Amino acid sequence: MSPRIRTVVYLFSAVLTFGVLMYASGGLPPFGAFSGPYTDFVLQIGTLERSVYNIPTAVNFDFRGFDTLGEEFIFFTSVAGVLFLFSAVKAETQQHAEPMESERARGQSGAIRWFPIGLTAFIAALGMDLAAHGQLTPGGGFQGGAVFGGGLACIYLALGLPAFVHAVKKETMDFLEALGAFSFGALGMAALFIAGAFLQNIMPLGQTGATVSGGTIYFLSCAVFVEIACGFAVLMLVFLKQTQQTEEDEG
Amino acid sequence: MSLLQIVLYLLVAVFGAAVVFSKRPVNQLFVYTTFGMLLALLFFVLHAPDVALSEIAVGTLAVPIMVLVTLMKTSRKT
Repeated sequence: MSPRIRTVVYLFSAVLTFGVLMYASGGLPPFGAFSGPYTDFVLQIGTLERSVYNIPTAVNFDFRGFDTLGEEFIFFTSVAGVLFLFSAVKAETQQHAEPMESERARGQSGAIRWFPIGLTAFIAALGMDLAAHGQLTPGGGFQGGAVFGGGLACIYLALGLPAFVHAVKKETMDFLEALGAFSFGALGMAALFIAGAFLQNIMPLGQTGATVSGGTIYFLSCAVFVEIACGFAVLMLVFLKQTQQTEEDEG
Repeated sequence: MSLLQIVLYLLVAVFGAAVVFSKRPVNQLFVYTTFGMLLALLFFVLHAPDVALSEIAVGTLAVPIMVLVTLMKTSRKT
């Protein structure tokens, strides 16, 4: 295909797509005025029937809990896939895998080494706070877990890879991640046997506004927090180990 | 639509295009991270703080770490 014909084909399809999109956006409801009945319905019953102030959390872990189960297992399967791929890479480069003390960590001043450790504690606390109050304020298991797992990266930034490997035990993280995913499914199955519907809210709802409230929502959120936090930690561990091998290959 | 929302929509559009038009992957990563932060701000301004938190964690932390390590791994000996 000559460049001339390509340009003509591109211009034709670009104008066509633009026209269709403009026509379609003319039929949209005005900005901020979506009139689906689901929104009003969920906003009404979320607090009344589930004792939850933050409605997105109620949707994630109760009304559409089954979707979240799918998402948790997408994450779980992705982490398992990454671990599987990198275990194959590790076997190839086994002779390079000797742990090496980080030169960078030894050359740093005390402040640079220890400030990020305090930061890690702060970010980890923030992650737990987000997860523990998911039913009251914005946040929840996924957000809290991602923040917590990400905060662990500060250990690597401050003390280098050996400290990170030491702090984030791979076997423990693997186990906890699987336990989090299992707990989500197990709570759902328990509801199936006790109440007759998968992931039905079977636990006492507690007082609206209390730290532990919302019944099953709170515990599902905790299970997701454990799974996501440990999954992120394992992901960072295997990825950062790759940088070590790269340095050794070059050196 | 408030002025803040309009400004953020425009910034997201500009940075989204900038991500596509960045040539070097390392530069692209940093433009992408900025784009992620702006997107999170937009979500926040549009009253979706839950989505904003997820976007901050994934867009400015998980993706950059994986892409940076991949770039380190693939660009050696060149």
